[in-house]
Amino acid sequence: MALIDYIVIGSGCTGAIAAQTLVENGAQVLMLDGGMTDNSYSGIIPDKDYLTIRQQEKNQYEYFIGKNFEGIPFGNVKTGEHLTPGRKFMLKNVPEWMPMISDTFFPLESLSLGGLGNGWGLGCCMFSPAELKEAGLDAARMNKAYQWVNDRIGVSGDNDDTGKYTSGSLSGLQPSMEMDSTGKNLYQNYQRKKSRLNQNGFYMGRPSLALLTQNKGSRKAYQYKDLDFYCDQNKSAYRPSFTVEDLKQKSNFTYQGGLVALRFEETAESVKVFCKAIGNNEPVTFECRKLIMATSCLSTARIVLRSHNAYGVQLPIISNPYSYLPSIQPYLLGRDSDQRKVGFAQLSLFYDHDQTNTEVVMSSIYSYRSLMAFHILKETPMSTRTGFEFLQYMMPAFTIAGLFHPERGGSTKYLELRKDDNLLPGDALHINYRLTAREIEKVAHNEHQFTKALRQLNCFVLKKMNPGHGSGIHYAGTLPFSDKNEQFKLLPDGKLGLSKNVYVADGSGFTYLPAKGLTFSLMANAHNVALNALMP
Amino acid sequence: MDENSLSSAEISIYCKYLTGQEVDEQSRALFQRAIQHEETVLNGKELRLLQFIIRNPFTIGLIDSSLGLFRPKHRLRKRMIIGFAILETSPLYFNYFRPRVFSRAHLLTLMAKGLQEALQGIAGSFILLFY
Repeated sequence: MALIDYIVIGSGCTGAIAAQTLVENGAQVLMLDGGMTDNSYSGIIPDKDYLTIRQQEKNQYEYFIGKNFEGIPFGNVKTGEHLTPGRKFMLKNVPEWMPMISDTFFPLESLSLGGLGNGWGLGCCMFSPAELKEAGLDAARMNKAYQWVNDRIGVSGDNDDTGKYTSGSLSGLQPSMEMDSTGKNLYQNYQRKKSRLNQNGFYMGRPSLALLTQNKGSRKAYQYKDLDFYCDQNKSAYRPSFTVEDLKQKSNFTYQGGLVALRFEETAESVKVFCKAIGNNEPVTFECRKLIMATSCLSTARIVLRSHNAYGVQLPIISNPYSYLPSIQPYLLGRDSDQRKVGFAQLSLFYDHDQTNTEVVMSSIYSYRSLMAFHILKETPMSTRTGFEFLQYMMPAFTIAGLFHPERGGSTKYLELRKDDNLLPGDALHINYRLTAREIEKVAHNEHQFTKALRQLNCFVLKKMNPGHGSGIHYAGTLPFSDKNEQFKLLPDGKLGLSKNVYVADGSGFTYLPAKGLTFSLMANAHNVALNALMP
Repeated sequence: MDENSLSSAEISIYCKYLTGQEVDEQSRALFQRAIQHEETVLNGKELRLLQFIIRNPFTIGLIDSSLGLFRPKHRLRKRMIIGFAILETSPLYFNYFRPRVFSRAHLLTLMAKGLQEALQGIAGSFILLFY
């Protein structure tokens, strides 16, 4: 067994960035990964726009509803059920290898190449200095790291009213993507009424997205074909698998997929990583000088607890409460639908009630079309025929606001690992996640404020939907940052407490989760952790 | 009627009712494969309702309304949604499913349809009483 300099576990947004940082600095890196890929749908979607495909392609059902109809939710809708057939590979082998039991928390985990980054909505928000401080992160270093990440992945956005909440001081931003009629109408209304909305703490602007509007290397500018839920045409939308594929070309990087990392063992000079092969369950062991875990905070918690034989030990967890508000803009009812449409967020609406940029609530605003009518139709209390007539009329006006709320830990939010020899890894993660009455009240208050603000913008909320904790796919805080060198904590440099050579590059250390999308901050932190790991 | 003939008749009636067109062979075959899912296999009572619709195709509108209004989790409703999804993703019916432009006055038409829908749902519920 050769001793490797660095092992990075996981190929998602944090793993890819940590590995890229190490490789660019000349280190020898081995990436261990689940490595699941899509073998059924990649490459079968024609290079045409959504409406042209709908009009012309005989076998479009294959990618819109699935070769085995996996795009049609038959029973109760669970987290991940909404993934389109071409994205379902993200969930392959997860129930067997990452068993999770909870009746209050419904997360999404992945063993795929690129991890949850394959389904990332691309939002790139910088946390404010106050938010970074509360999350346990160093503001000066994070601001440098945000720029480093931006330079590599490519971010588009505007320095408009929401610049201070999104891309802030970043240089080299690409221009924002074009809006479709849903976004344009809402934004025009905002421009007319912004002084009153601003007084109430609401700011609207173009989102900063890891989406290219200009060519960057081999990746091409976004083409507005409205197939964003199905495939990554021209690599315009950033996916961490692109970084991993690039790294594979480097001589100091090796990738090994088809593995689940189960635990590690540390000696004075090295770290052994014990894995199992997904296909045949065979044990495989690796040894390195330094280990960087970037498997998302839930899996990292599993590996750390297992490595310390700490079954039954409770660790904290934080996840942004998430709700969404399906809404209608009456002005657009029955109007012509755009040919050039966008599946990503068109606008961001921030609620900064005390104007301090610390307790901000964030909403991303989307239009709806390419997810097909049948998904909404099954929720309408009408016949399929009349229901569809209503939908056709309403579709151009349909606007969805996804709302993230800031979140802190608490005694009612924890996870623990319990042994179960019947399961492949030999245990299951049990999660309990309950908000306090005060937190529930605060979430409801914020939803109410957003409903009012949207009404001011002539956009009327039809319903409030709360899909359950964890469904927003923002998790963190299982091994919180601490200045003390303690077990199950991370030191500020990302090193695992009481360890010599084990680092954690995902969000496990964050002690606070602002409502702003956290992926950009996770990547910036992963870059910093990798730099720290490079130090002798 | 065997299971294959039943589902074949089912998608034919549904396609005609929804789009006004005859169902094509690919959509028919896809529908028959899709409804093998355990969530959409009919029990005795549900099967009798399907046989009733096949014998009396003109009642499908009443039953569709009634299921949507009162029994949204009924397996026949789920099969209609599957049929809808399959037809929606066929270019042959694109003209029916494509985005359209409507006049402002169309809202009045829809309101009238909504009222008609409620009445149909109530009428259909009398049929559902027996199934």
